[in-house]
Amino acid sequence: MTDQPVDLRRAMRSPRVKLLIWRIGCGVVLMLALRAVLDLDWTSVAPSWLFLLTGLGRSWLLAIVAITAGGLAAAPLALARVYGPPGIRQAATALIECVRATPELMIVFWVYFTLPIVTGNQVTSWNAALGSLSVIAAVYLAEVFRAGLYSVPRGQSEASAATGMSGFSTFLYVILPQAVRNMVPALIAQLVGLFKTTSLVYAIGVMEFFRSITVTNNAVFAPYQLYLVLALGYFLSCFAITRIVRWYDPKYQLLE
Amino acid sequence: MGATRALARMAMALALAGVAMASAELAQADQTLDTVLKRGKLIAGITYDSPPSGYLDAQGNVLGYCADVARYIAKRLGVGLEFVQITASSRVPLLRTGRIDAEIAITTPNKVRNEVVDFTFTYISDNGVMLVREGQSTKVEDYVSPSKVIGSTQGNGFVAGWKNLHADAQFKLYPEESSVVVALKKGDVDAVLTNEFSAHRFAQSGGLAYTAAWTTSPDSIMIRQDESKWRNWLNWALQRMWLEGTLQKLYKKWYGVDVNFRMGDAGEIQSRVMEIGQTDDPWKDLPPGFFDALLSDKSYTLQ
Amino acid sequence: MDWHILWQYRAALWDGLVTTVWLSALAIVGSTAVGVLVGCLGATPSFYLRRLTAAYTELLRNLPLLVKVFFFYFVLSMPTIPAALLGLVLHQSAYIADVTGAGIRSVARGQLDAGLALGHGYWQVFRYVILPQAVRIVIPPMTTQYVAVIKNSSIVALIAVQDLTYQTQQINVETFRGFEAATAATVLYVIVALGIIGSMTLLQRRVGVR
Repeated sequence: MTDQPVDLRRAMRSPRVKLLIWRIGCGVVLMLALRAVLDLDWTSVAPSWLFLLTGLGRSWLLAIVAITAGGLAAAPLALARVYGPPGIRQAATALIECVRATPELMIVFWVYFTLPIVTGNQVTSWNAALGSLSVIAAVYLAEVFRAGLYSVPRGQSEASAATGMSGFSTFLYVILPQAVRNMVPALIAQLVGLFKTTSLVYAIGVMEFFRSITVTNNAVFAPYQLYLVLALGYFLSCFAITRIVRWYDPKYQLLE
Repeated sequence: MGATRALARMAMALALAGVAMASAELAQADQTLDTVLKRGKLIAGITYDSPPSGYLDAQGNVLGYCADVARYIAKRLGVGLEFVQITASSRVPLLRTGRIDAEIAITTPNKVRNEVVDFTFTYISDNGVMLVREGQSTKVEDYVSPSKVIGSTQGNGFVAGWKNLHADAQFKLYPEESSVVVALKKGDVDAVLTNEFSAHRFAQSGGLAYTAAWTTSPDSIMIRQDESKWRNWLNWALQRMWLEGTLQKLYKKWYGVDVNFRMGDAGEIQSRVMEIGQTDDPWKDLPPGFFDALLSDKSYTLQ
Repeated sequence: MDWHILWQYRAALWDGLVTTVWLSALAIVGSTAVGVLVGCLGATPSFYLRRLTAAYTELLRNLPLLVKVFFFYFVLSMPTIPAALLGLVLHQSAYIADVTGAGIRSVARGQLDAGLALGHGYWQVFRYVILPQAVRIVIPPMTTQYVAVIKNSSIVALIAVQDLTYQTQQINVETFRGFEAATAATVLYVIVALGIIGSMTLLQRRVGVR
């Protein structure tokens, strides 16, 4: 038996042991949390599980549809901002920057209350939610697309020009495929931001996750239980999306 | 900073374009009844957090007096029914932009509102009271002080009424009724301006009490301006409900009291109102079992 | 359209703008302090600090701001302004921590090693070699974060803070002129955001290498 304490101290410094200690620590915290959760009275909340799950599903649907529609609108915006002729380029820039500087909640109010006054067409709160979330997604995705286009080194387009390729085929066959590959993680990461933004359409009465939680809370008044469900619902959803990004590109720095 | 300057110029151009576009106002007068019939669906604006007039249960079912009145009206029109949540601040914009056909809720006619919308006969006779924490004073005059924080919802008619009486009152206004009630419980406001029926229900849930009435609050169905056909039909329908006794039964079911007002012009039912449906006005027969279901606790299953 | 209504309600709009600006300013200061601290701790060699800060940012970033503010206000029963501020600060600090961490890590690793090899302590190298370079790198993403604070501050209207969004709603319910009020508020928000972008650009020029 040699110096046990010295060995122990060295062992504590090894990465694998550190990870083990960290995991045990996390486990203990989770167990304590679980006990606290089970101590709460869930009888009044339990009958609403389907209603709450439907709300969560609506939030997911909103986020996915909006990011698809936003992506379709973002492509021409980004192209106009990068390759557009002078007038168009500034217009696209101004549009993107103005919308990005406007609070998301104001955009939601605009689409639901104010746009109908301008256009004369009424809009359901669901469509207003989809519309405003798509607008928000579009301007943010336009920036993702732009960053993707810029991420391809300039030397590549110069090399393509040197080999006699036209500007358009350079874009189509050289720039675009690389840009798309570079921006996939950022694209998925935008879904996290958008998923959280769906909570704002609560303000126009869409029965999404946040609203269904508050409705249930108004009826049974169980704030601790319901906010726990609320936090878990959003956290697990966003966590799942970030895991997909990590899986696709472990080196990707997740910034929305 | 060339980019910023360009941005500012663009922002101004966009704003101007907005002004130009906005010069077209909504104008589709007097066609709501036809629209509803053609669409085959009545879109009713309703509160989701004002029990017992219009509120949701824990599973999202729409309950309340107003909801049941809407269910009856839709059946008599022979159309389906869709509820759209309204709040005190969203009800007028939603009505004016055509999002809802009628606001079947707890709105009291007043001049400012009447300048932009119209109302039917009174179908609820309520009072304005102050909801307070249990143990606090339940005398209205104790809350007439600039040091008291008066809570209510943005767009609530009681706010303007109270401000008229007490110009120096201090308000804290929330978007939703349910938020105000929690704010009262946690002590962020000292008293909540609300109607007596709601206050009674909130007080039953515990920890709250309410004062005597400081104003009356007769409520009507709110519709778009210049909609005589639609307003007439709704007025006839309310009177027919009254003559049938359905309205009184619903009133008793939800508010727990007998009606304390009289329906119609100056409390008189219009003569020949029973002739509705004999001309080209819609007045469908109710399906068997409808009354029993409507007056039961499960009226939300009717939708 | 009746644009006179805006002049009539100029005091309300001004009050709302002032509230939005000071609330955002406090939130910016608070979230920068917390976020930079967490970001720096996360960039240290300590395993546990890195894990803890990662857990902090992950937890806060995966919850909507609305959930945080409502939780502090309605569930924990905090007073209005502290609840609003705490929500805004915690929310944005997670993003600022990530931005800071990324900025520090982007300063070449070789510089840290070189500094350590010369016999300087970690904090010394951090303070005199890494931080000055990291500051320049993080200013642009920090600008985005600060604009986000201004925008996010609009949701405090839902807990009755009388900010610009609240006043917009108030003008709407008092005059039914929602379009004019919303236009005014949007323009004011964009102006405040442009102000932030402009001053950060100036700052960038002053600390910039070229």
